[in-house]
Amino acid sequence: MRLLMIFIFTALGIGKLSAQNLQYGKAKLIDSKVDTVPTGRAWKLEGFVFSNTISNCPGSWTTINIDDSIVLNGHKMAVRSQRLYGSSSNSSGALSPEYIIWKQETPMWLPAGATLSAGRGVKFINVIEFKEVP
Amino acid sequence: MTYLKIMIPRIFFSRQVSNLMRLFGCVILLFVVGSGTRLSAQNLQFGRTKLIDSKTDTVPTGKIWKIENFTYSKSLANCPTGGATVNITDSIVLNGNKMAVRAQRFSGVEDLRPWGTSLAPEYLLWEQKTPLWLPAGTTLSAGRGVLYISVLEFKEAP
Repeated sequence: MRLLMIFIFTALGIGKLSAQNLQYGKAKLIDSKVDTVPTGRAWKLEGFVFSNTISNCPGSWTTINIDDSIVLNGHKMAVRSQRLYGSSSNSSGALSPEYIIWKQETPMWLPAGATLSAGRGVKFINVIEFKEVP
Repeated sequence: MTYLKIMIPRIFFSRQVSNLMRLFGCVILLFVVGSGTRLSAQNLQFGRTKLIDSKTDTVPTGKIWKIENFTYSKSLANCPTGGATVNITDSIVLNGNKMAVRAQRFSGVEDLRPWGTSLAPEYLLWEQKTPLWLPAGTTLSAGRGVLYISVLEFKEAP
């Protein structure tokens, strides 16, 4: 009987082991130094901290094209882009300026082995590390 | 009949049969509890994180994928000069269908002086909203302009 009970509880235990959960590990600020997601961990990329504010309004007939980026698995990847057309005026009248900012949406999940670092214009990448627990 | 009446209680309350009954009861209880759990709603259990690139990947049987976001291989197009226009679409391939996830439409300043009124620049940017949930059997890969698709894999647990 004891053997049978041990068998049953072991079977239940094995069933439970197949489940996987994420357990909070730590918060990280990744700078320009390359960091790697450790084995058995997952990183949740929450947001970006930029080293420069957005550019000032340019003078007439001037354009601004600025990309702030991170480096993911060796690939440079824009996370904020500014495209600015200055106001313009000429003999036929004045033209209104045009400004657009695009920002990479978050969260992004990175598996073990992925490498990450801040690139141009990015001071820190805000990351939460989770442990994959069985 | 008299024999039976006398023998049944004796067998029933003998030590061996009593132990067997208890064991049988335990097994039944475990099965009842087990089936009760199974009958309850289905749950999603975290499996792993994935970065899907241009190589086609398939959602495995018994699993489900949650697309969290897209990372792009190219930044936005620069402001065009003159009256040029920019029409760029970044895409993924879902079940063999090319599907836009970011689209840029940009027309630059058109300087028409001294003959007419110049035209102001215009910029439109559209992005696919996330999350998207994909059932088992769905195929997925990154298309033009997309570096990775950030995916969470879940197990459908009974």
